Amino acid sequence: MAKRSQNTAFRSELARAAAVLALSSALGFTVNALSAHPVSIFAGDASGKPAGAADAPRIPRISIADLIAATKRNDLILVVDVRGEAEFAIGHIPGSLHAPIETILQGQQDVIGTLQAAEKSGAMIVTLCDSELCEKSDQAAEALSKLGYKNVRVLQGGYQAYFDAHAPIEEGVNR
Amino acid sequence: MCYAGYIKARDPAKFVEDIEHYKLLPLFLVRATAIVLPWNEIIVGLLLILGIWTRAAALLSLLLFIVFAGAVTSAIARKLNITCGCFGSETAARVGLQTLGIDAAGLILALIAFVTSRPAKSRKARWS
Repeated sequence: MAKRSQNTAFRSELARAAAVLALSSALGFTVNALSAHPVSIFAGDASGKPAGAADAPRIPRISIADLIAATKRNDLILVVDVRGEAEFAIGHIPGSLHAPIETILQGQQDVIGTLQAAEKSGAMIVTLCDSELCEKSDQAAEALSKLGYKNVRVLQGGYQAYFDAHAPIEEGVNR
Repeated sequence: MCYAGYIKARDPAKFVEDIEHYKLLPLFLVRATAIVLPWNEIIVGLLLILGIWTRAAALLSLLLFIVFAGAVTSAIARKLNITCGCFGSETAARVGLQTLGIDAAGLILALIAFVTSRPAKSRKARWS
């Protein structure tokens, strides 16, 4: 009798847990649907933007293989990493400039100074973010193009693809 | 748990990236998880704080921490160089033994909450 009562109680807890899960999930979907920038589950591109959303012309890409080859040839390249500080510190392409998107959009002096020097020397500027799902590298590249920078590319696949290619990385934050 | 959920709910697009880094789920499930998981955390945390349906909330909390620990263990085993995604990008930590330790601590607390909370009364017991 006691065991039966225990089983009933546990089934009640399971039912409550299922109800909490269902209601909180429904809340999540509702908030997402009402959001100004909803995440689309099925339709749209890899970033989850809803289908039919206007796409600005994309900046040309450079593949990981082409970047590595260009680096080996000692071509003039400035890699601009727009990820957050903690992500940059965990690992980044050696010699890359850490410039979160806000520093470019707000015209932070030291960042713009480095970019202008690179442009003057004829270097290719390559922006990168986490992966293809992240739009910040495109946003940074578009901002730079609008500012008149000529040779701007976005790294295809982002840092994750670079890491997966077992290419050399650096850790820490360069000051 | 409430804070972790709130940080993730603020930027679901970033959370999509964080989950995708673990390379465990197809993209549509990654997005669905990014939409609902923060709210699961917020509601479960609130229930625990307010002492409402404590046992059920502790059970869900236990389940969540088991899932987190499983994902982190899988990432460590595959030597993925990724951020945890536990508290958004501002306090991003690399997936490793430290993040596994945090999940283990959460799991133990959830287990304690489950074991020490009062079970739900059956309808018959409630009215007797």
